[in-house]
Amino acid sequence: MNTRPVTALTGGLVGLALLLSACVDPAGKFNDFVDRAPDAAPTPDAEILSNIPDVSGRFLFSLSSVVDVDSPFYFIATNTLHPTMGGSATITTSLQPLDYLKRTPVGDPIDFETEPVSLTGQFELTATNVSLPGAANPFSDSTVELSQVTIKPTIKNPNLYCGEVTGMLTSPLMLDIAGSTMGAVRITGASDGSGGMPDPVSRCPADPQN
Amino acid sequence: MRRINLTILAVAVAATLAPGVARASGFLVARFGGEQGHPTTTHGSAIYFNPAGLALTSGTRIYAEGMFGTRTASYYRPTAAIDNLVPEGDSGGGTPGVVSSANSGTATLSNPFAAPFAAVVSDLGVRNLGVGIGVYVPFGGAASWDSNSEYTGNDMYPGAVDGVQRWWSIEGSIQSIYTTAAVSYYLPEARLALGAGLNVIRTEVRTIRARNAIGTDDLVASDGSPQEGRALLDAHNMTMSVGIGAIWQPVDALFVGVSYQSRPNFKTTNLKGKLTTKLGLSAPSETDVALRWPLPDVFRAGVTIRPVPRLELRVFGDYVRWSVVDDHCTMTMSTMSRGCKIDDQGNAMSDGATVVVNIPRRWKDAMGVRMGASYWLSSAREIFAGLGYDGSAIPDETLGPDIIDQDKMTASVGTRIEVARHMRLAGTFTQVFYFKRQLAARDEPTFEGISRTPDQAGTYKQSVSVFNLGLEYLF
Repeated sequence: MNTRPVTALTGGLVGLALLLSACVDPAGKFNDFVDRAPDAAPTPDAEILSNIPDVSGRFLFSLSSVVDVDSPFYFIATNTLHPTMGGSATITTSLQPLDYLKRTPVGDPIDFETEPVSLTGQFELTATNVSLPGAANPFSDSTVELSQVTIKPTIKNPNLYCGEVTGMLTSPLMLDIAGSTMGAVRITGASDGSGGMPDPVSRCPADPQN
Repeated sequence: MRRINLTILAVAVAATLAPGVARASGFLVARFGGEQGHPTTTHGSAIYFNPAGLALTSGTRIYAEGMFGTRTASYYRPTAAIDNLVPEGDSGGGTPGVVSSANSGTATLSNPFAAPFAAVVSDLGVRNLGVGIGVYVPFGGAASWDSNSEYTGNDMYPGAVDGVQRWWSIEGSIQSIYTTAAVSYYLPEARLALGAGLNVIRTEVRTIRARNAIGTDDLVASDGSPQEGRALLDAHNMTMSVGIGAIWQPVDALFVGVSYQSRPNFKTTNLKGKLTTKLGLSAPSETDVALRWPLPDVFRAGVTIRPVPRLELRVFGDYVRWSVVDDHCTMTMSTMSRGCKIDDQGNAMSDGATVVVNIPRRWKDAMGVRMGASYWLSSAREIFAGLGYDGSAIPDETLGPDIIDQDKMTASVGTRIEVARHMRLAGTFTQVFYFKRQLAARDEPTFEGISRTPDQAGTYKQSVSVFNLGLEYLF
């Protein structure tokens, strides 16, 4: 039995099939997009302050993630600023997550260690693991898990501090959130919320006095 | 030895090729065998369409077939479909009016495709027995959409160059490669052939689409920073399924066949892989995910009659239970055991897995019917033709450029010629005529939360031409 013609014709069919096959390369398209897309802009350096504004009290704290600046996570920050020798200070902060839609407290507060405030008004808050309930998630109802979170605000005036946020989102998606921003605006109403909330600020404004 | 090489070659090729896209319904693309592929066939494609047919011929046969074709498609998206169109002169997040063409207009694709079918069938020298092995791709599709040249090199809107359909598909392929071993036996007293096949299935999904964090088509946030990103999914699994069938021959000239192909994995299966994302200004990142990937079972029935020796008439149909395809849900690998639970509005339920993104499908069962005829000009030359209709599995609410399906008609012509002793060459040309589909712009998002997608309103057109070129060697 001579099977040579079968092999030859089959090889021809296969070769033709290979030539005509629609080649797709989704990973290549992804890399092309990454090459074209811009990176997050760096924050300008802060200036040395004559005195550190007292940001003690309650603030509407907005964390604008790098994936969508228009959909921030909201918290109430409760701060206590402690002046120290040499014009510097320390700050103790707690962040209470808020329901994204209702802006009411949801879940447990996140308490940070007391941290020093530099002469430029900068301080750094760190948390190894952070869990935010689904109601606080502006994108979906999923619980949000973050790790190695670092918040680096600069105090601009007694009613405002703002800066950058870094860390890793670990659930529902693995995502490096470096480039995310935050802003905190003083809440002037009563502690029961009857005075209403200020307009949120989720990044440093060009003119922090306004 | 050459026979072994042939099989290995066919397996290797099947594992590397994108499948054809001459769809019956959904992404069922089982058209191998051309006009010989049906539930009363004795062609090698019986290994899938009805394994009972394997016992209705004798000897040993090798089948090698290439299905070659071209698919063209277009999607016109009206400006009214843009989620948040920001009028020129205004500011805010969304699609700036000056670049509305980044999210509206016409997207096109024109892709050649090829897919193999290979099988070896034998009676092993035992009367009334048929056994076979085969490799083929019954489910799948591939697409690579054309670029929107208007946005080539545009740094402000770097995603728009990938076309207005990019929120659903930029490029990708889905395929389920079947390797089947089947056996059949003909009961002479009952004039009945019974067959069964065991399928080992490798399913792969590789797709990229544009995506932002809130499931809209917004290009920029209110401060002008980019919102558009990308989601790249690469996932696969191995499963098994079975096919069974029967062919009854009440009289010499009449064959009645029924068959059933079970769902891969017999129930909804999860593909495992990675989701790579770049959202907004974030750096690219990878997440280990599981993709809920239900595939349907298929019922087939058909009748073949030979009113005169030179003429054969066929009518057959299939019923595909696409209604099992409810959601294509991507969940974190670590929580997949809880299962993807999505409510009617598209929100993830708290007792289910952590859902990263969900693409609602909510498909419906679909059926198709075909009729055909063969005429033998001589014992060595057969000509045939066929007509068919296949319904669409995809309702308006979830139709999108990622998987386009429409009601469709098919027309086929072909011939099978004995080109040498023991060797037959078959060719079938099939033209698939798809009916145009139009969706009006929606007032509100169809699905919420994790299931929200941009408005897929617009006009869908598609055309597929297929040429099956097959070789049979009999000995």
